This record gives sequence, structure tokens and C-alpha cells, in this order.
Amino acid sequence: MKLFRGPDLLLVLAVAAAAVWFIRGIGTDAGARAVVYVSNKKVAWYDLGSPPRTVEFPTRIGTVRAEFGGGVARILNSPCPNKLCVRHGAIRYRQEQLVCLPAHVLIVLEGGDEQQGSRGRVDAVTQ
Amino acid sequence: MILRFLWLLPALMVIQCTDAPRSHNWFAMDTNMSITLYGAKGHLSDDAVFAKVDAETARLGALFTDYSTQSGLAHVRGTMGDTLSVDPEIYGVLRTALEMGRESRGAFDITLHDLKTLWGLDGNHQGHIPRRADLDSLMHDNTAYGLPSDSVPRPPLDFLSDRRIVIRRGDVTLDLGGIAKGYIVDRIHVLLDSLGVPNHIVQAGGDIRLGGNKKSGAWSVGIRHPRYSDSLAGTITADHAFSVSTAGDYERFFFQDGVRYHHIFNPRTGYPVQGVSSVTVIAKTSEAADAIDDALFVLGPKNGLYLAKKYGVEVVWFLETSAGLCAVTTPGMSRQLTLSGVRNCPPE
Repeated sequence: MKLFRGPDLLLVLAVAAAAVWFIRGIGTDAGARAVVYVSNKKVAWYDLGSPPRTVEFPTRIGTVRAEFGGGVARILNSPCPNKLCVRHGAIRYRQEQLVCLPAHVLIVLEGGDEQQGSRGRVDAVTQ
Repeated sequence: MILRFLWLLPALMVIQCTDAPRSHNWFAMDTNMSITLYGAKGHLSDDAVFAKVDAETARLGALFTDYSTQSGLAHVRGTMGDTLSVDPEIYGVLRTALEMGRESRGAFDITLHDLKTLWGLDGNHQGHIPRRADLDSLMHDNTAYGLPSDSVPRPPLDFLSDRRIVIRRGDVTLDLGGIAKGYIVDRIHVLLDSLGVPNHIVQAGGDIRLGGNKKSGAWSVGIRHPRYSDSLAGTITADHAFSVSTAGDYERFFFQDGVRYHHIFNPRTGYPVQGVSSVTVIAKTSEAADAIDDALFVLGPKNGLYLAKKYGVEVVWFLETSAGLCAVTTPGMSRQLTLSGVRNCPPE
């Protein structure tokens, strides 16, 4: 006895493909990444699951150096006077932000890592 | 038989299409801003929604920024006794701000713009302790300066009908930074509702408004730990729309001789408030949350509880003590807040 006839098999394949597509959609939310904006332009995306690495961004007041990876993002050096973005330290939660206002640099975390537990699943961070 | 599963196909596609949040981040008014949209798209594309939000933010920024001599707010100044006609939105926010100033007995003060600059805490200079003479000279005309804590200082302006105001303290640079961001968040929230995207998060700095719901559980907002930037001090959970705002001593600060000097000043002394690390407020609107968090920071839990009750807001204060950080919460906040790594302060 055949389990599926021809049209049914096509339908099964279509549903399976849609399921894969759906699961991939969820998957994009599971891996945290940092999105970097300079002067309101999105200039880079970094996967925070990778080993830490240093990146430099030219800005209107000089070069901002940042580190991405190991689950966090941080600004290592900035030409802004008070270095508040440097002293802010690392960020790791979804929608958490690092800001260097004089340089117009914004780093936002998107997604969120299930490994971080329930605290990593917040919708926003007030700071 | 397989046909009974046919519904799965569109269902899966609908779930996939509608559940993915879409974010937009940008700078405006020297603040980082963001919106995140949840659920189904409205009658416009996301890009069209983002463009309308950008335009609205630019319009409001041109009104409220205190960093431009061309802004609407910059025109609200004069010498004592001058009567000015004011933009209706600025007039409304000024009324709310001065009401908060009165109700908080001067703890919320929109005339401290030059004090931030004097301390080098305006974001463009190196922070430093000012000379006493400079501080006295600057604060001389502030009616809160040196006043006992139970008295209400005289406001810097009075309101007339037809959106007119009378200047009561001349040559003061008004600073609506402690309330305008909240107002702008509220305006963007209203705009998003009108564009058919009621489920969203709007954020401007520490001011957040959560609109509608996200269909997949309650809203959850983390509170940044005041001393460990990569940790949360707690998480607020709610299954309804609300606004939340935080004032913290870690936003603009410097250390000298082991003391942290930051940008939230006590108008009665001209010095940064000590003992409070951050205050987070839940309110119905961002304008209210934004204005009251600064006042509650200055007042602290002992003197600020009456104000929280009057405005119907829920609050958590994170206090710096010799035994480390501890939290004081209002009853409604303690029901919604899960602390992490911070203990409750012992009752006084």
C-alpha cells in the first residue's frame, strides 16, 4: 500500500519546506548580533557568537574602536571627550545599546541568545 | 487524509510573516532612538512607517532641542516681565514641566541647563568640579538654590491664555531634556497607532513606551544594573501597554577623589545628588515617566513616595549603601519586578 499518492507527496514536501522556512525564521532571533550605525547609516553587523575581534570605524570626530564577540559588544576607544561609551562597558542583552553621541556611533544588539536564560529574552533595556 | 493538514501551510506562513520584530534605529536630538514593530504590517510598508517616524522626530527635534539657537524652545527666553507667544506643543510641555516642578517642590527644574555646562557634564566637555564662586554666581537667580526642602520655589515663568507666557526670570536657557524625550516617544507612539501598527516599542535614550502587545507573551523590560553595564538589576514584566523610564548616575559622570559626580543635580545645592544610583518608573505615558524619574532621583525614596502616589506611578530606587546596592520599590513595582543580583533595602 502506498502511503502517499503523487499530489499528496507534493503537499507534504510543500508543508515541510514551509516548516523549515518557519524554523529558520525563529532561528534568526536566537543568535545575538550587533548592528553598528555611524551617522544614522547602518554600516556593519557582527555575530556575537564569534570569538572577540576588534574593529575600527571612521566617524565625524575620529576613529572609534570597538570589540565584538564572546557574547558581548564594547567600545574600546573613542575620540569623544568624556569617554562615556568606553566607560559604559560591555552590553549583551537584546535591544541594549552603546552610544557615542559626539561621534554619532550607535551599537544595538539584535536577536538574543537562549543560553543567557530568561534575562536574555527581554524586549528592551531601560538604561 | 493529507488534505486535513493543508491549513498548516498558510498558518505557518502567516506566523512567520507576522511574528518577526522589525527595528529602526537613528539619532535625533542628541539621543539614540529606536522603534521595533511587532505583528502584522499596517497599510504602509515598514520603510514608509520608518520614514514617517523620522520626519515626525525631525519636526519635534526642531521644536525642543536646547542645542540649537534656531529651535522653537530657544525662542522661549527674554527678560523679566516679557510676554511671549509660544508654539502650542512647547506650551503644553512647559505646563507639564512646571506642574512637575511645583508638585515635586522644585526637585524637577528646567532651568539647570547652564549648570550641566559648568560641571562639564553636557557631553561636549571634560567633567570637573566648578569653583564655588562660579557655582554661586550661576545659581544666584535660581529660586530653589539654598531653599529649605519643604518650600516650593517660584517658577521661572507664568502662563496666560492663548498660549502666552510671562518670563519671571530673565536670560534663562530652558532645558526640556528631562521631559521632551518622553513627549516625543508619546507622539511617535500615537503616530504608529494611526499608521495601523499598534504593537510596538518606541525608545529614546532611557525612555521606552510599549504599545499594544507582542502576541507571544508579556512584555519584558530589563533594567540596566547601575554598576555593571553588562548585567541587569531586574526585569519588569507586564501583559499590557506601559511606559518606563530610568534616570541613572552612570549616563554622564566623572570621578574625583573617589566620588562620582554626575548630571542629575539637586537644584537646592547645585551639586549632583549622592546616594541614589538609578530610578526606574512605570507610568501610563512616557512624558510623565520621563519628568518624574528625575524628580524622584533628587527626592529619594523617603521624600519621593508622596510624589509617586500623587502621579500614580510605580518606582524602584537603586540606592548606594556601604553594604552595596539595594532596592526600594513601591508595592505595584514589586509585583512586576524581578530583581537579579540586588537585594531589597532593609526597612527604615
